[in-house]
Amino acid sequence: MMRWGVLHLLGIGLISFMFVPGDGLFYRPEKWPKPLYNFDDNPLTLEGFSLGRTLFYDPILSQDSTVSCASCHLQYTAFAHVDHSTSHGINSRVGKRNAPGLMNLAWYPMFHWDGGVLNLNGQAINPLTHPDEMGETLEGVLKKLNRNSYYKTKFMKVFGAEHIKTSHLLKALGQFTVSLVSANSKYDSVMRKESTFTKQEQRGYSLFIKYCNQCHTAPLFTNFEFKANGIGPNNQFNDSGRALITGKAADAYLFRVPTLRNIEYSFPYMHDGRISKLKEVIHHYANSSNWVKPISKELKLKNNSLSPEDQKDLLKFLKTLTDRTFLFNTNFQYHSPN
Amino acid sequence: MDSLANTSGKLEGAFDPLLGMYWAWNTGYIQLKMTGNSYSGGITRPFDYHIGGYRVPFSTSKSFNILTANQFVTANLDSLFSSLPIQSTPNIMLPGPAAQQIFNSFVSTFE
Repeated sequence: MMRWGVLHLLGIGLISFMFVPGDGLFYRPEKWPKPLYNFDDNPLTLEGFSLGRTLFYDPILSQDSTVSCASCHLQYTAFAHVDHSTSHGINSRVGKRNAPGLMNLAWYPMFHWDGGVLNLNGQAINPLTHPDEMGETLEGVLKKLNRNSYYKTKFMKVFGAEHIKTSHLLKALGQFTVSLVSANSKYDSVMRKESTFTKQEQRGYSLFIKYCNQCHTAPLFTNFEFKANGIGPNNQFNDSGRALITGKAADAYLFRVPTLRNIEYSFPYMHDGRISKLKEVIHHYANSSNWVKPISKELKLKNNSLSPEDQKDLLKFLKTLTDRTFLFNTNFQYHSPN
Repeated sequence: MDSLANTSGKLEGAFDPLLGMYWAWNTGYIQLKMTGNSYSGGITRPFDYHIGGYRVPFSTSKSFNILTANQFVTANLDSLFSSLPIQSTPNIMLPGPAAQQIFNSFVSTFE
């Protein structure tokens, strides 16, 4: 809490590096809404963040110690899973959904493509215990951590925990994942009036505001609603998305609107990773004749409303959402346990 | 547990997911869990009921006022077991109308 205050004071009117604090801990970018994460319940410390990072990169969390969080969430691709349309787990098992990028999670009101998970700390239980992901049990992972002298010492230091419990594990992971803030792209520097768009980027930005911004709303580039974008159900998995959580027929095949931040690097795209290139995604939106029902009403594009030139301009704009200070932030990389 | 307890993400003490009463993929707690076999007419039928859910209209919470620390709450579980739809619906693992119906039977067992 104190940290936000300090950064807020520093942030006003100062140059851009101030927006990327050196230690990697969470910060609230200028003019962004209040984060939803409960920091009072889990006060961030450098030790806690670093413990969370060690756990994030440690395959000890999986049943056979082969898969870590980072197996499907790689930093250089905005913590998404490139080259795989859906996530991979232990024993080469394959999941049903595209592992999403991890960034700006402090502002998320819910998690997963279907929004079934309501808090960041509790989210980690899902990949830990899912048979197609890490396939472990909470009992199993806590037993391993409690037998490990490195982790025993660290958890004692961070949480004063004699015995590592579920909440300690989840809070440590939360300290790392909530700190993955990406708010320093070219777009952000243009908004801060520190740089300017090229003419093509500016044209793309205008198209974006006209056609995309209603769902992919700045500054998070998502409105966190559930929509159908015309790609149609996945033939292999027939994943009905939001309806699995709400039980409502009207929610069938709706998925959470994903952020577009770092979208250039977080391929493949869509909830099942079926589109591999960003220009193909734009092409999909530009060709309404190819859409498959259901289609949410926000999709206003009609055939030919985006010319091939427009599509290129839009692509150029989307690339301004790439934040290299995030993708290459050394604080988020693997560090050997110390 | 009311809806706030279900969604606040406390996850420790009685709220520890380790206790096996937590749905991770659809945040919330299982209020009542019954697993076993039913023997009837020479036939064994396994059943599994994970009853919970806090979203309206399929909420499964009910408040009771307990007046003193020494007050006992008694429940007649026989009426709950005899109301279970073991033949038609032996497995319920999701919030929804079926879960709510069992929860209502559970509530009515308290005298």
